Amino acid sequence: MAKGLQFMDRFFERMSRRTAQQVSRRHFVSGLGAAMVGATFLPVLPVSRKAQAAEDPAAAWAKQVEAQTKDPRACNYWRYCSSDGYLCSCCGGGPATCPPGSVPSPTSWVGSCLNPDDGKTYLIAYRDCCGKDSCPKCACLGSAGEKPAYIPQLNNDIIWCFGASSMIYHCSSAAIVGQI
Amino acid sequence: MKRTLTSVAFAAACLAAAPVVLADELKDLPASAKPLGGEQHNLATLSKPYPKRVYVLEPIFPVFVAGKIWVINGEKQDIEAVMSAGYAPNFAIAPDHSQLYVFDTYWSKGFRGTRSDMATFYDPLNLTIGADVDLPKGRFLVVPKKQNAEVTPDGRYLLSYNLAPATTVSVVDTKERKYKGDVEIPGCGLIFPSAGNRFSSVCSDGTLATATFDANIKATITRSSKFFDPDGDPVLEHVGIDKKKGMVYFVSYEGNIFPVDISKEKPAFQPKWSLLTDEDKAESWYPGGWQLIALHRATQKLYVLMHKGPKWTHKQAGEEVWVFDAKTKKRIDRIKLKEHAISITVSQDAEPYLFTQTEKPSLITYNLKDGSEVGEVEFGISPYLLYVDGD
Repeated sequence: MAKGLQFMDRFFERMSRRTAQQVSRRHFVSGLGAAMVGATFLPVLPVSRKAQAAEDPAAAWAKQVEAQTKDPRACNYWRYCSSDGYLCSCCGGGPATCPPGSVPSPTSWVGSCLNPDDGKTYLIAYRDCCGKDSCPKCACLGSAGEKPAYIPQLNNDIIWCFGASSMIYHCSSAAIVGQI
Repeated sequence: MKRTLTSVAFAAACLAAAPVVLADELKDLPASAKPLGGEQHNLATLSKPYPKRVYVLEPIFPVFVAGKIWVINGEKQDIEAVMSAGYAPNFAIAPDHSQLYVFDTYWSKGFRGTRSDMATFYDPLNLTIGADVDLPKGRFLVVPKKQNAEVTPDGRYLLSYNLAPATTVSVVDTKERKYKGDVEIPGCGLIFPSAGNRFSSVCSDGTLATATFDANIKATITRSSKFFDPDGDPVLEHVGIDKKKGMVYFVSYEGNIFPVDISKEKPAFQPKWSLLTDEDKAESWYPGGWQLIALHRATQKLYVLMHKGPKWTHKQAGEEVWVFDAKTKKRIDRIKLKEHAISITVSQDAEPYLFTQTEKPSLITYNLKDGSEVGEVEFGISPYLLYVDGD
């Protein structure tokens, strides 16, 4: 299992590295991708979005749902702009915490959401909590900046339990990992 | 001690009686009961496939380790049967209707234990299992999408997509009922079968990969030039498809149609066209939902679920179905839906019905002759994908 996990890490690391290189050629946050490589994140979307501020899906979503920062059990909590699934916050966990008895996934995809309080855009790692069947509470579907699964590093339909001891989805978390 | 002995005796009696339940039912009736001859315990079978039968695949989100496939009589709006399935299943129908295939993942202890992935062969009339074919490379675990598992147009091979993390397609021989190997399609996903030994896949760089494999599943892969922009306007995963002619209609986030002829070894890309007029764009109409597009093969009409945006609402349920002539590229009708729908399909007969999976959830059927509602049937918790015979 450990060997498999390392392989998985390398796979996503490669994707991240490639993405980061593409990003750095075009945009100003050249160090961002490289800084996150070790953590297996896939930071492509936020930067290309930022380049098209007029069509920034994070800002559009925040406006559309009246995003808020107080209640992480509501679908319009600001970090969930690209989250698809049951909120760990409603299942004994939190926006960045897996519920008891579940298995935190070491892999994720990264989107970006606008914090309406400070007006800044943050990188959000959408990490699934795995190892138990669904916690069927607080189903939310955000799709800001989300792409089809043939672009896996930007897709929220995938069971993001790669590298965990179980591929069974329990709930969705949304951890802040950076700021644009 | 006495109670224990009695229990043991009772258990022994039950065991002895167990094999002859039906015949002995009357013996257990009180003496005052009037026997009525006894109704048999019958077993139904499905009728032969017909165009308006709908198979509805349901990944049951609150109990995701289980899934179901509902067999619906689309003429009478009734449930004909329910099939059991596992985690994030997929489904396919043999082109000659001889088999139904369910692509499944299970764990030995329910939600834990040893994982096993398989393609299961079902008889289409009595729904009995003919074979479980192991998929040793696993399956792509994702909210089910139709093009993640397919059958070749000649019915010979099953194709099951995988991302673990290499992107491959597992090939199962339906004659031998055996896994034959995997075809690697680096950087690509989805399966569009175009010949007995060939399929195409969409790639993250906007190209189309076409894999041709031999009997040993050794494959050659060719990549097309870029035919869509994966950054600015990616194509969605569900398509209008004519598997007999080898024609695929991709629809993009921005409402563009990309027709691709995959009937030959080299795909032929026809000019893209838009579902939307300037007026539609001003009103912020977008395609959206899950299985959001369907093709009626004989008339080459495309049916697309539409809603009012904004952008990035590509999974939002549709409030209307727009009908286009794929030949003239013109909209020819708009059907206002009684309930918003996430998925649609059409029957392939001469008097087609439109089947819409609503958020309620329910299946609402419309007669495409005049857009009138035929009926509604409610079932399940989270039905998602629709299949019809002759898809």
